[in-house]
Amino acid sequence: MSEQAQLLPGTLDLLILKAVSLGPLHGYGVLLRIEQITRGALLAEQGALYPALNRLEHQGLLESEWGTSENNRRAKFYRLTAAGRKRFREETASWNRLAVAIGAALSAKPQED
Amino acid sequence: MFPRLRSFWQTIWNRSRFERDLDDEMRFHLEARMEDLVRSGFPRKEARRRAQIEFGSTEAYQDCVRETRRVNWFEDLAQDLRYGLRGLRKGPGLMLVAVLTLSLGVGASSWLFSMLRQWVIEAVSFPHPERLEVLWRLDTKKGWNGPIPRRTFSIGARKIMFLRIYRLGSRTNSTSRAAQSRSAWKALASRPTFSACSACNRRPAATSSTARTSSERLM
Repeated sequence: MSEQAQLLPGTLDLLILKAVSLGPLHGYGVLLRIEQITRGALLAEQGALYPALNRLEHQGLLESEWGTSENNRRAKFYRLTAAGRKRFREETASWNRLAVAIGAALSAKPQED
Repeated sequence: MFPRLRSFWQTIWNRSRFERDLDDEMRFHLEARMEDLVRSGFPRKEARRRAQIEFGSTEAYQDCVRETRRVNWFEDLAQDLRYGLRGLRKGPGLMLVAVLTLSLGVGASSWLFSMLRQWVIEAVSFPHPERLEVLWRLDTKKGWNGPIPRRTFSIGARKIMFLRIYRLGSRTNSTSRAAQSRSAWKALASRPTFSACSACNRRPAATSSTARTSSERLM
């Protein structure tokens, strides 16, 4: 467990948007998909997912609907809204810019004269 | 802004349903996790325990969700009020000072405003204020205190206090003029501090003496 990476703070919202952009999911499904696409990065506590999901729904980026899960139980499914899709694209672009910038900064070598 | 408002109202509107959904959603997560753990070989009891540990405090996260929906504002308000009242009961001195400060402040400013309103903003309640010509001051000790200087009158009274020179009647009939000034005097007597009186259509400089005589006659 300790060798698994923890999620960076602030990345959870983006990862949720990514997970849900691949198709409607219930909360537990979001967790599994995040683990899958990040190759096992962990939330400190799984419960932290729910305030984040609710916040995104509150902001109109997600919409939810009660449906039936794979094992035939009532579960709440989340889906990306149009606004959510737009925000996901923007966040992805800005994350990529940041990642490139940090990568460039860390690989800078001292100049020789 | 709109989706937030809508989700807020949906939450408030159907609070019990919101709570039930929140409970169901988290319970579904815990059970699904538990089943996955059982499938990977944990005994049921251990799986349940582990699922809960991985999830963290259900209560705390439910509170977190409520906070994002701002459903607790009413309860929070009530709690703040109770807290405030308890504090006031504990320290009555502070409350006394606060009440005193507030009442003095409110009293002083409302007094100031009513003065301002009486002397500056509101027009004088004389009949035909546009005909007002001379203004006399009634001093409770000295009696009639002479006409207010014309300069003050035209600057202070006309512009600031909206007083107008009071023209009484015409010069054609002196008896009717006296009668008119008498009736005007009666109307003015209700006003405690300022009084206006008399005079005809003469120039204001000459008016003051006439005004005095006619007002003395009236008295």
